[in-house]
Amino acid sequence: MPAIVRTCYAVLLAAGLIVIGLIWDISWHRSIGRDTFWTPPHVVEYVAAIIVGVSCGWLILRATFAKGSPDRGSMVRFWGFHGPLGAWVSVWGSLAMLTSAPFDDWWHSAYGLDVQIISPPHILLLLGMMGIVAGAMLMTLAEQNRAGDSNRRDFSMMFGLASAFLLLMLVTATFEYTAAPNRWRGREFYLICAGTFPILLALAARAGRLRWPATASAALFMLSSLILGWVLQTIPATPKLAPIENPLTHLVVAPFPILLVVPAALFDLLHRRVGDGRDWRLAGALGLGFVLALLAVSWPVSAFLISPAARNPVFLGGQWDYSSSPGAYRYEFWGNLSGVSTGSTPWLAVKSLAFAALLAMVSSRLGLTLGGWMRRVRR
Amino acid sequence: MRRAGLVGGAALLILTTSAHVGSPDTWFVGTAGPYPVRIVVRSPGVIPGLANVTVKVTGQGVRVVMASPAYFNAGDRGVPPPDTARQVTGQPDSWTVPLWIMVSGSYSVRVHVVGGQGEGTAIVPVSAVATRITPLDPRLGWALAGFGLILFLGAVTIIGAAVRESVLVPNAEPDRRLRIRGRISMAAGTVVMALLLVGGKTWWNAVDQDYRRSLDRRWAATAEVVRQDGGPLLRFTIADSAWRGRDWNERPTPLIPDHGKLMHLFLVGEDETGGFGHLHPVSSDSSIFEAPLPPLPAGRYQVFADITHESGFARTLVAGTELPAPESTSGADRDDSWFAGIVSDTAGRLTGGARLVWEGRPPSFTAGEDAELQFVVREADSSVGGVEPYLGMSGHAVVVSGDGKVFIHLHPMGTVSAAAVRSLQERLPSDTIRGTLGRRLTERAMPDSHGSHPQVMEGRIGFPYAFPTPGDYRIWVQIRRRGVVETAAFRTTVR
Repeated sequence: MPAIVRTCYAVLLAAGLIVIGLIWDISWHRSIGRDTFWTPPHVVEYVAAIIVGVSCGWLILRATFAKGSPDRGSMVRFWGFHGPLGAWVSVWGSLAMLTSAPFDDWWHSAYGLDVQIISPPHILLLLGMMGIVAGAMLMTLAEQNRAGDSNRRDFSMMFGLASAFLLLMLVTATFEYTAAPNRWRGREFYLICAGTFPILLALAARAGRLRWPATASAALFMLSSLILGWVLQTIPATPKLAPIENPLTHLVVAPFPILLVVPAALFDLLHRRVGDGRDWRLAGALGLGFVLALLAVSWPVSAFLISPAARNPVFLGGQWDYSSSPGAYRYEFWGNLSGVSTGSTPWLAVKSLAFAALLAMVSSRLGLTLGGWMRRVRR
Repeated sequence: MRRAGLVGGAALLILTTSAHVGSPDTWFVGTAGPYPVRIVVRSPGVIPGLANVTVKVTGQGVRVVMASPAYFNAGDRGVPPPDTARQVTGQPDSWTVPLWIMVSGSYSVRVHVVGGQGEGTAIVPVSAVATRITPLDPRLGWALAGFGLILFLGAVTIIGAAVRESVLVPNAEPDRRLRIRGRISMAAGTVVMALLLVGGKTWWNAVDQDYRRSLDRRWAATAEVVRQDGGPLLRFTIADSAWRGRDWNERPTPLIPDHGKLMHLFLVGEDETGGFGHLHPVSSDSSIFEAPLPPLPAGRYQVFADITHESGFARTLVAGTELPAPESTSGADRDDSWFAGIVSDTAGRLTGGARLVWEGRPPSFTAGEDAELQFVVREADSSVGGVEPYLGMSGHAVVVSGDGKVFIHLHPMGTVSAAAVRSLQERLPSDTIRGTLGRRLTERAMPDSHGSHPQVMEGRIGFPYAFPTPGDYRIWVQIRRRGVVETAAFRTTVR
């Protein structure tokens, strides 16, 4: 196996560990609460960063300093060094992760232990993690695009997995605003989903070489999210911070994943129909299609997911943090499509959805451009 | 991050704290079952943050010391499993454990001791407030800035390489057109990322502002002298919107009496010749408290008012006022007391030729260092005299720094309010309606016996404390002898 391909596997493994570590870490914070540098999920994350550093670092050093390295021709230059573009992105990601650790540590001592996902040091950490996953994606893409027809499929599958991991990271970044099914009938959910996910689905539809690339990514994303939830919920855990509003015996896990597989299938379908060269028109269709498809599935399914019927280990309903006090809000929808608490009208709801469709269109258009470039990436 | 360096120079911000002024740590002397304990809870300063608990316990065969934080209204199920304390090396009777304080408000730290004499628990009230923002260590700031710069330049380089070379077939060299496009992309990437950094900094500033708003702030309060038929009255008003606001649900829990008094008010003369008063104003409504003004020397006074909420949260309100020339008043609370005499270094004069002696006083005090303030009543013949309980305690000490930024009311049981201890001990799961616990505590309050045969204790009084900051301090110690409250004033300098 060539060195580049070996590194490709290593970085993809690291990307998988990053995703496991991140999802586990969030469950840890929601269930146990107490944080040290040496919690098992943190160890998993930093092991992933080390795998990236060692595997990519070795590849880069060898390609740069070994005489007549055969791989150098399929690499890019970076400050005098040679390495695949994806490796550089991954190395950047692991450096960003390392930088975020002391930054986050100081943040805790300055502003207290953060109890939210979105904070400046966490954004740097998330960017680093996404860098590693995006690097894995770029490395598999370059292999896919250079490979002959016989072994292209393996790399296409690996690209599908890497893009699923990236999707899972994006979904996790928006966790506080999109994850609870109680939000799935609210304006904010559609605006955030529309701004965030179409870029990745459009990119996958264009750059992937599987028959249903975006669908595969979305399905793999949902499956990995579910598997992580199914497994993590069996781990015993006791909250260790007061006040405990909601006593727990096991880790709480993320709710049932956002049903991105349906809009993703639509993306593949539309992308194949319209083809290249008419990207603005295609982006318009994708944007509108994304919002309508997401609405069509989220609306009914959310009612099921907040009902007693979903409160079981399969559908992961009723998972509440140790710090969330009981209340009727758990069984209600939060917010509505109009985005106002009183005086909501169908007209306001349509306006919200139209704005979401516009965001999804811009996001899709960016995804098509990026995907077009990624389809040609060879280094 | 690059922007990390920008705030590196910010000064350590310390604001006054509610539970006593400028003295956020908690001292508690009491028992955990059969074991005498002396517990210090060092405030985390930031919330959520780690409070450090130190337990000094004497007794036979102490094996395990555990501690857990309990939020006042979260019930027993809301308490995490206790953490086991670690024995301090070299001090076999001292144990230490860090505890997470997650929200602002009234906590009880439950300290559980297991040993040869059985088990016991002490409940220490802790009024948790965020008081500061830790500044960035300049070295860490520069290191982060360095990494941030590498990340920034690295990202720009990656953008350039992506546009220039990444789509080329192996071994091909980029032509002039690709090189130019690469440079343009790098320039565009620099601009976009710089904009993102500016956005990030704006966001950081907003987070910082939010946090500063959540820091504990001093409640607005006023003190004034008003004339009435019976003589001048001191009127103290809680003026803060947090207390007087209309939103009942947002209001702090009601006040409960501490030693039978809703408010303990201290008048402290701003210069050394000024007097000292310990009054117990009576509330005329929920915000206005009035007490007859004692005949203290005229001048500028600081006013500190201690109150305890039903939650167990202890708060000190601060105001200032100008006192007029003294004149006689009537109708004072029989526990009110005042003093306008000599401030001494070592011994204060009491009636009948007795003295209150500051014993075992070290040549100097160091800020932050644990110091036991020991006072002994010496009769004229140098024998140890007796004291009677004054407001439920053998003695009271009030410590005020020269600049007025530190104020604390100490008892032999420490910095904690006895009312807070009772509120946390006697709260029941059924106390879900505001005021029910407060009413029960008030009904069961045991005022001092003013009868003819008060209990007499040995006149050795110790106050556990550590002066929080360097500077000049004045200390007033109050005791009751033969039914009369007597006060002695001391001064010291803390390095």
